[in-house]
Amino acid sequence: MLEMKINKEQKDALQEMANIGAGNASTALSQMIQRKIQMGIPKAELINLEDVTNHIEKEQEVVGIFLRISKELPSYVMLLIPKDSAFSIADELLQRQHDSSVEILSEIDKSSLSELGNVIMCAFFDSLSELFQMSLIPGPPKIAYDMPDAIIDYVLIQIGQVANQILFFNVDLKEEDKKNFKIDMLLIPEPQSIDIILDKLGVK
Amino acid sequence: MKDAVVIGIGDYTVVTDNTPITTIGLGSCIGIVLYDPTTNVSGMSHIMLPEIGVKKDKIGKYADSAIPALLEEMKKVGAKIEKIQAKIAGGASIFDFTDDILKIGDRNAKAVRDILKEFNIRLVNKDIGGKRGRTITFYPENKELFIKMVKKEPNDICEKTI
Repeated sequence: MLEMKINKEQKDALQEMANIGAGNASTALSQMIQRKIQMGIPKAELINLEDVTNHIEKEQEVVGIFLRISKELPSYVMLLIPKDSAFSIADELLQRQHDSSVEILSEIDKSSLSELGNVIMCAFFDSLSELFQMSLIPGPPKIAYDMPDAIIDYVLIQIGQVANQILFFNVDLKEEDKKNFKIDMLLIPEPQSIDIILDKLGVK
Repeated sequence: MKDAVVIGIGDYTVVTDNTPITTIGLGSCIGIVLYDPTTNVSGMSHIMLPEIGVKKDKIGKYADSAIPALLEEMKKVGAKIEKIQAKIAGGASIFDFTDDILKIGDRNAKAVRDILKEFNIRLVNKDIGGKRGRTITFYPENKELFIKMVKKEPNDICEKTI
C-alpha cells in the first residue's frame, strides 16, 4: 500500500493548482449558462478512506458526473450536483419553466447535465494541461443519480486497491445572483499521479 | 434509543447492546451484518473489494479478510460462532459500464456469499445488486436491517426492511 504525506508547502501548491483549474471550469460554466458564477476557496486534503463520508456534503440525492484521465496523469474529476440544483440547471439549459411536480430527472435532463459536466471538467483539465505541459485527454463522462456516498464509492474502490488515503480537492461553484444552484467539484488523482503533480508544481 | 454507530468505507464494528449500526451510501460496496441471536452480539462491516489475498493492508476493506476479523471480534465479546447469522446488502452498479471487469458489485456479492458459506454462516436475508445505492441500519433489538434508497424511477420503492 502506498503511504502518502503532504507538507504545508505542497498543500499550498496543490490548492493553487486547484484554484487555477476551478477558475477555468467556473468560466466555462458561466459562459455555457450565461450566469455569474461564484467560486469558493478550493481545499486540498489527504484523507483516510473511512473518513471520506465526513468530507462530502450530506445531501440526500445528487447527480454525480465524472471523467477519468487514464494515461499521463490518472485521475478522476467529479461533479456532485444536489437534486434541486440539477433541476435548476437542466431548466436553464433546456430553456424551460420550472415544474415542481416533476420528481424524476428525465433522460434529456441527464444528457444535458452530462454535456455541461463534460464542458466544465474538460475546462478544468485544459488548464492543468497547460500548467503541466502535458496532454490530458479525458474519457467520456459517466453520470448517475444517487446518494453522494454511493456515487463516490466507485472512485474510492478504484483507489482503494492501491492506497488507504485519497488526495481530495474540493471546490464549490455557485450561481451568484439567484443562488439557485450549486455544484461541488472534486478532483481525485490516483496515488501514482500525486508524485507527478508535486513534481510538476516544483514542490516534490 | 441510542444513536447509531456509523461505520465508514472499509471499516467494521461490533456492539454488545441494542445500539443500532449504520453505514451510509453503499454503492458497489457491501454491508455485511453478522449477529448472534443467543447473546445479542452484533457486528457490521463495509467491504469494498473481494480479496485481500496475501497483501498487507487494511483488513476491513476486503470480504475475505473483514468477515474472519469481524467473527473474531464477536467471539472475543462472547458470541457463539456456530449461532451467528448474516444479512447482507449492497453490490449495486451505480454507473453503467458495459465492461464486465468493472462490475465490482457482482464480484463483491459473490465473494461475500462464498465466504459466509465457507464459515457455515446462514445467510438469513439479502438485498444485493440493482442500480441504486443503499444506506443501511441494523437494529440489534429485533435483528432488522433497514434499507434506504433514492427514487430513480416513478415506481421505485425507497425503503425496505429485511
